Amino acid sequence: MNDKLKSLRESAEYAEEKLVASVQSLLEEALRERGWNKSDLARKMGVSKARVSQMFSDNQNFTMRLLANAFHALGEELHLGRGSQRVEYKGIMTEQVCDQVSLEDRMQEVSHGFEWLDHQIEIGGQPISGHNVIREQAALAMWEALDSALESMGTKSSRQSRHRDQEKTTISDWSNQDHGSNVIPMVRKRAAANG
Amino acid sequence: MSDSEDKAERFHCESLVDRGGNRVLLSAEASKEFWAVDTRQQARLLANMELWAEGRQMTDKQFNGNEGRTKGGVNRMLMAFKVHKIRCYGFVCPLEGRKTFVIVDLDPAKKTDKGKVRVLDRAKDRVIAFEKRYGESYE
Repeated sequence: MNDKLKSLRESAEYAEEKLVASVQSLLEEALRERGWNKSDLARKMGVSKARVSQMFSDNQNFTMRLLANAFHALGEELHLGRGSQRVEYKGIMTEQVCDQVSLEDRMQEVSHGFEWLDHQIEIGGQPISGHNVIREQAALAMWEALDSALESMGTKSSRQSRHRDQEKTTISDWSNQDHGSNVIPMVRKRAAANG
Repeated sequence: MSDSEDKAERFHCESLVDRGGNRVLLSAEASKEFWAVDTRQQARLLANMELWAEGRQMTDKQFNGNEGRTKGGVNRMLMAFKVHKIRCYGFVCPLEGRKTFVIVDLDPAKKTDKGKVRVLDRAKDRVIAFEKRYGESYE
């Protein structure tokens, strides 16, 4: 690989654009599978067509919430992975499955993390509770935000031990029920990383 | 130097993407212009090329599979990777038996949604020249 190409692949711009292009490709694929156009998606999402068009634009960014909303409207679930894991979407989680994963426990866990950091949590001014996919996505986003906040405070070891303790009562229970690896990859991955 | 790069050089190209059995090569004529554009645009184009090589679904803002056909005894469809106002023109051929997109030209400052006729014609000429030079050695 020549130096310019190597440098480009190692750039932050490439990392950003690769993710955006990949997500746009997944959205396009899901739309075509259903025979939907952008207006159909906008209607399902309850946003303007311009907002949906922005998601397919080269130079626009979109929020995690908008993205989660889009895949929810498509009846899909977007999974985020790290490293060699790739962004992909799966069939939507059913209400029943959402109940089984003890989402309330996870919300509470995230909430405790923010309280511990003396941070306020708000999603659209609403309390964090409920069992729908949008909020599941929001929980994942908050996990990331919590991780970043902790790492910026240099409290990685405290975070790891706290997560380990909590996984004994919430996440491990879920994993032991052998519900498959595709439902909460982030949590399963975290459990593996913490041994 | 990898095997892929070595083979690309035989065709006076550099290998940008090689995955999923498919690849994207950048011809010497288009190389200077490609590496002159903004890093973010290069990154975006490279990401789009990777989607193509992986056989992923692409949006009409990422790729245009029909920029017109070449004439003059060489029948190839001109296609383009797109980002904002930039288009990377090229064509698909079975180079060494592998599906290969060869980028032959680049329009770094397209002013309208429709490609510039002058650049399109130049790109088609370059496709024809490439075909005449290497067409018999594709397989």
